[in-house]
Amino acid sequence: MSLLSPLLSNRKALCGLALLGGFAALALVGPLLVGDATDFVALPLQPPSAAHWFGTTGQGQDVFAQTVAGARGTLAVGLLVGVAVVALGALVGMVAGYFGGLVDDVLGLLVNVFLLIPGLPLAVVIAAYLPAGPVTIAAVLIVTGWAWTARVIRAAALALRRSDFVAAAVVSGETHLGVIVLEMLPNMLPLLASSFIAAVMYAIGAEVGLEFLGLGDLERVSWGTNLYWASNDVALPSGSWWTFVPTGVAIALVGFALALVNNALDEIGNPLLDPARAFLRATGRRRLRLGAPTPVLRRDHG
Amino acid sequence: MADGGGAELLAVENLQVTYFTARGEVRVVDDVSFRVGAGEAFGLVGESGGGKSTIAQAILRVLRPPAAITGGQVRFAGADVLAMDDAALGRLRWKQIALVTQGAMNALNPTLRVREQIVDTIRAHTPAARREALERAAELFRVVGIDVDRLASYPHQLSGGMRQRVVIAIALALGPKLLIMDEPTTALDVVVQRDLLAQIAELRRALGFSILFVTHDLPLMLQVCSRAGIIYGGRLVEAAPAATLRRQPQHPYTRALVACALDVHGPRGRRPGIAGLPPDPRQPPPGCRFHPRCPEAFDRCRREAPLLIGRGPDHLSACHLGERATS
Repeated sequence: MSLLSPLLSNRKALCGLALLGGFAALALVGPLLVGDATDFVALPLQPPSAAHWFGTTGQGQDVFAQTVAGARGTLAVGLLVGVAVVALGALVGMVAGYFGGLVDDVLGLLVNVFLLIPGLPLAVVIAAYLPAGPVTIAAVLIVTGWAWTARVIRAAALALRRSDFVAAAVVSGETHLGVIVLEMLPNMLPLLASSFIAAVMYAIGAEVGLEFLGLGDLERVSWGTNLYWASNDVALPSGSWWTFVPTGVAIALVGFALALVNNALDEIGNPLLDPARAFLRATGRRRLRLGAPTPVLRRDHG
Repeated sequence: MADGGGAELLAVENLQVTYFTARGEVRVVDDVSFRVGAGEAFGLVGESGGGKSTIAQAILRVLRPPAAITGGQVRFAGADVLAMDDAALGRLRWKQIALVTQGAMNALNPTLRVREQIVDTIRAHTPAARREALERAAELFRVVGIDVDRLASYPHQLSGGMRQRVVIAIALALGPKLLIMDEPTTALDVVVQRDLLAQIAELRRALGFSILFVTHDLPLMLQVCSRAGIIYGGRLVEAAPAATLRRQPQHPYTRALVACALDVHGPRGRRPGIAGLPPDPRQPPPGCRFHPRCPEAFDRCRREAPLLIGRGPDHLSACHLGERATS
């Protein structure tokens, strides 16, 4: 597709995608390599050593194994929630923006209600009532997270709905579904992509947060439960930084990679940002000034 | 020159404009030179994408990034425009040189009465009091032929032709010495177009300003201008008085443009048109840029770019064909 080649020639995108690819590979094959991360392997709270690269937890488990094994649970929930939030948000937003009128009023009200509910506290309450586990957490995050995307997509759909090419499609007898899927959706791809990335970042953060509070399945190894156990085993007061730093760095790196891809998508979707770089290099300027006179460069004039 | 050709007002020499894009540098204006005398109407004609508008905007240095002027000179009334700083450009723009672009009517703010927009312009550039500015606005409306009552209208209450007239009134508000019009009437129907241009020609005679008229419409330009340059692929290919261009065009491109023009009184028949497409500025053809479309191209045209050479009084053309004929 046309989005792929600019993505691969963009340095930010390449860095981000490489990092994400690394974590994806870790999530897929890592757990097979490190065995059962919940095994008791050595004395508790041992600092990093040759035998246990990242040290051991308060339960005598290997921190490296736990960090690797935790990637799968956390990234799977993040991906699932990201996809579901964008799908649900796009569906509601598109339908509201496209049909307008009463449909928009009803869906808009719904979106507003969900936007007003403070997300994380509600997630805490719901998660506390439902059986603990990744499915519960994903469901909770989808329910509390879709409204922002719906709001954004609705606004974009409202603007597109009034554009002439959509009007032309409607009068030429295109079905509602056809107009939405064939005419409007392709114009929203950059928006959907950045919404997806934002949703994944939100999901990972919120999932780790909920599990840190002990609302996840504590039998399962994930980055959130790693942090929960580190806190539970008084890692900070005892100075055993190695129990939480690796997981924290992993989460930060995933967020960083997602942000890089998001920035790259922004550059590709907004062509003005990219030539600006070549222009700045040529003119030796640091930034664009709005309304600045056209620069005069005398170099190879002959 | 019929009615132009006083002292030199604008001189553009070897102007080069380059766009710095992510995919490399694109030179869209290459070595273009022309002069506009005081009180003269000079035309720049060529197909879309040839660089005409870029030239017009480069003169005022209002081209946006990633464009930069990479060579040449622009002198206005003796002053070096390319050496001016923001403040000097601020004094030059609008007061000395005004620009009316294609679809300029869309530049009107829909939430302000047109009166406010004229008064704003006048007061931003002169110490005029509001009352004086209002009087001037009324006078300008009479000049461009709009009922003075319309000063209190919002842009959406005016037709396209009226809005374009309002913009021209704003352009004339400070009595500029040069009015650059970049396809000023493209959005208008032919009747309105003719009225407006006749009015502008009359204003030019009355007020004595010069016009740089940028258009793709050769017959229209020949009506308005006394001299013109033909632009192809970012280069000037021919420059001559309008009458010469009409009767004895030298360059094959100019000849083709003239042949495209409709003549109400002439015989009926198909117009030939110009086969092919304008050159891609990222990869201009070697040699003469017109050679891929030129019916008379020969070997040398593919290798060597022709130079602008005098072909007669005040007549320049860049074509190997004429060189061969005269030599």
